[in-house]
Amino acid sequence: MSMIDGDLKQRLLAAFRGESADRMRVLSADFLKLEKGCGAEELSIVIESSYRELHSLKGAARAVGLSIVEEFCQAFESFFAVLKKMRLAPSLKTCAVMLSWLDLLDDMIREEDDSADAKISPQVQLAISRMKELVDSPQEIETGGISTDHVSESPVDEAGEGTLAELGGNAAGAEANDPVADGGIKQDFGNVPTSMGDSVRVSSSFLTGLLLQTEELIFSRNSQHNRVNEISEVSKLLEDFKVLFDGLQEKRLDSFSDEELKLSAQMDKTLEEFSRRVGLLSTSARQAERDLTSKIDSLLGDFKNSMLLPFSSLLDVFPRMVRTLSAEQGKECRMDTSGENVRIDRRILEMLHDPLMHMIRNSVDHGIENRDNRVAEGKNPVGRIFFSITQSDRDVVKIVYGDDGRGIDLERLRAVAVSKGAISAEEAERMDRRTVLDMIFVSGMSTSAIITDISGRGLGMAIVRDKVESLGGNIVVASPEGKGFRVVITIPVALTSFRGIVVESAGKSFVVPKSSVRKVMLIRQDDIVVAGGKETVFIFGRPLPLVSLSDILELEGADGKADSFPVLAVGKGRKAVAISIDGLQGEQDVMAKRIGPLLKRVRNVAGFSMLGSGELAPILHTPDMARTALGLHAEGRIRYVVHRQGVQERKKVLVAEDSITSRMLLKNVLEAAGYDVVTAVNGLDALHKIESVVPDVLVSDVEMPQMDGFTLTAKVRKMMNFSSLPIILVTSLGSADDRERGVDAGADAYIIKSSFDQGNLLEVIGRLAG
Amino acid sequence: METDTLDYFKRESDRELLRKRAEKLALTISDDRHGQEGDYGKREFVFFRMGPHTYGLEAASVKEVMIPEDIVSVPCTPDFHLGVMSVRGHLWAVIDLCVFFGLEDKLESDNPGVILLADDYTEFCIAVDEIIGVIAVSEAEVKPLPEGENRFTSFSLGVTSDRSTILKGAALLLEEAFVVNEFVGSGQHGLS
Repeated sequence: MSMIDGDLKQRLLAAFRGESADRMRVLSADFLKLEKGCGAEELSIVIESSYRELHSLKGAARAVGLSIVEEFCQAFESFFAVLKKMRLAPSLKTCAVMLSWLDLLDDMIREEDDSADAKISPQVQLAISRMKELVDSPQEIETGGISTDHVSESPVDEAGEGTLAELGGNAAGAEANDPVADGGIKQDFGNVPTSMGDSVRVSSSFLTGLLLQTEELIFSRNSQHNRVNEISEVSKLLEDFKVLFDGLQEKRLDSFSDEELKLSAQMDKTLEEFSRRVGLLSTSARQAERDLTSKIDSLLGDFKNSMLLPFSSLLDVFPRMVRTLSAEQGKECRMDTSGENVRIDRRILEMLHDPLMHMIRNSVDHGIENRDNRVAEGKNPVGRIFFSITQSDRDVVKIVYGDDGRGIDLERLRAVAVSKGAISAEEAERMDRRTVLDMIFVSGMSTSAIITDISGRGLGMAIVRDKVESLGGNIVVASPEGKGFRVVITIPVALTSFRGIVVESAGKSFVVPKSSVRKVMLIRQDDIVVAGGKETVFIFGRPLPLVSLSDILELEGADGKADSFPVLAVGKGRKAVAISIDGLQGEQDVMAKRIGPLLKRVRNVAGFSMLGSGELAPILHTPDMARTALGLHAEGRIRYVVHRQGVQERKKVLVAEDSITSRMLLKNVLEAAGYDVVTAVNGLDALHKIESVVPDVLVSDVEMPQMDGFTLTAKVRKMMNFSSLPIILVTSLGSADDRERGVDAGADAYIIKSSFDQGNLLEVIGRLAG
Repeated sequence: METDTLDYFKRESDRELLRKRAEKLALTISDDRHGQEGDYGKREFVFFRMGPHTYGLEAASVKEVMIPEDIVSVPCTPDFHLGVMSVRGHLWAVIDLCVFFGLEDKLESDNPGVILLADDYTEFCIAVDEIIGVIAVSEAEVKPLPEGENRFTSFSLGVTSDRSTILKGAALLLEEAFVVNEFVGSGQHGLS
């Protein structure tokens, strides 16, 4: 086998890696079942399964030239042959030994040492010789103590010395004489024809690629749909034309010559044929669209199904990890799972792996107490970690993860949060349980070693939450007093499709996952309540901060001060906010696309989706948006009174400035000072806007294209309504001449940019605006 | 009306074609003058135009060139991220190198072309005004730029005799500043 090299070798190895990972997973699940104990019937199934997996693994290892793995599996398989033949139930101690052998096997597989003189480590040598020993003298295999019903019918007692020896001999024979075992295997496979043969191993990235291409078909369908509509438009136009044409004919028929009559009849006929053909085309196009739709739907449905995997494929790896980890810590833990047959998109499963593993690590490291402490607390000496998975809705899966360790120490979490400066001492006092628990998601704190030491729940929980939320799910933490730690994660079954609300802001389309929106409603001006200079609206019977989507997304958009506008209510409890948008375009099924390696994670954006029109639109990350909105609202950094029209107490400033940077600077400075700001890009623009805006103060640059500040000032002065409007010129032209020109034109103040500071400008505006 | 449009398009594309040919011929001649050894030591570069200037990229790092129908901007990303576009169902991030390098030149086209760059680890595309073509250039012909501190010089291999700047495709692919990875609450981005 070592003669094979190059490409084929690599391909074989890749296949082997996949296969061995699968088989190791089954083996470790089996061994843990044995350790946990099972009835006689299950026992034989489990042993049979392990026996087969080892046998197949041996074959696979031989194929890629991993001779040590092959030898090890051979010995291990023989050991199982004995267990199988003698129907032995391994004791806890035996199981522990078996698991350690499995660990060795895992290491060897990972090393992939296929050299002819590959060294067998002493550990492996020892293990192999021990296996051989046990195969030769099966009475040394420690049994029982697990399955009582098995012990009672155990053949060990009935079987005399001779039988044992005979069985041992058989097993040894099987080892030396592979075909015997092979024969057995073949027979077994004959009984379970579905276990192999009709399935093909395909890489998941290939499958995902196929799915993406299939999804593209939806856009072909949409364009077909548009064509159908186009055809019916044409057909309608033709009908209209026919009516007009007939009317005309009718009127002039009498005056037609014979020749004209003939021509007219011909035209009639042609038109008739034309109309018939268009009608047929319309019908067939519609038929084609329906046909395409149903085919695409069923193809996509099947595809999405093929992307679903049972949770067990993820969870199977964990029990052994729990075992190893807790052994390292000198603790004892076991892991229980339920609902591992619930199926979910494999991509979600892959992405859940790290967060779940992280939580398990935390539980074993910090949550579960050591044996003595547990006993002292009156708890079961063996710690428990559990997963419970349920499909709570057609498209939603609920994962409950927990342990029965010491839980989260809320007081110390509070203390650390205060010492880290995340919250003040008073805030900490006021916080309720829920809010304090939520602090474990704050990343500055969670990465701190102190938190890890005291509660063990901090490290990386922010990342866990981010992963879950980016998958469109949410995560809640609970820690019942002294009863351990609990996390409830809800997550969609499929990544591929969900209902989205298509909204518009600053002239662009965005998709908001419908599941994250609690309410969509139309808000009128009267509904806005300004409290402490911040806008709120009453939804769910209480005031929610009102923030515009264009502010959240940092978009430069027209502030549409419409009489009424739609608002999305997102987030729960204290975190609820109302997000105003410019328009609602409707609801549709959307499919999330990953944005590629460069845009790993973008604030407020979860992904992209193709809309029905074929247009790409960002899918918004609702939890991010809510957090951004709350931050903006709390910092008072939202543009003051974006929504509210004509608020009397606020002075309005019209800013004319051609440089966008200066314009934004002025706007920010003035808004921060509590002014309502309208901007114009040059003098002419300002002149156009002045009548509709009716500012209290005009601040203008001098050098601008189209119309400069001097001209603007002169023109404004001539307008009846604005003859006394305070006008401030801000300029880099510092000469005395320029200043005089400004005064001549009628400006009230002249501020030189080089000496420009915010205080100066604000003071001048304050004085002039009175 | 329709024929007018068609004629117009034909004329446009003819002119385009002729211009490209002229450019290609001109470049080839300059090559020949430099080395009579033929193609020995020559490497292929994809040449393109951003603003008034011409640039080249090793053909090895270019996966594809195309003119996308639409580039959609992504909110909350740095300004050199022009947006994303869809290629057969996969999304590609589009980078505006003019902005990234802080060049004086700006992209002129409303409907820019893109050059798709990819290696085993990452992939993205850069927006260009025009894709000129693939031309083999000998290494000797590429003269290094004077040492400089700015971003631009660290990504350029040198200048060809006809003043095209050759960029390092591999270095662009390794550039970590292109990667956006931040979420609200991570504390890594400035809300202030």
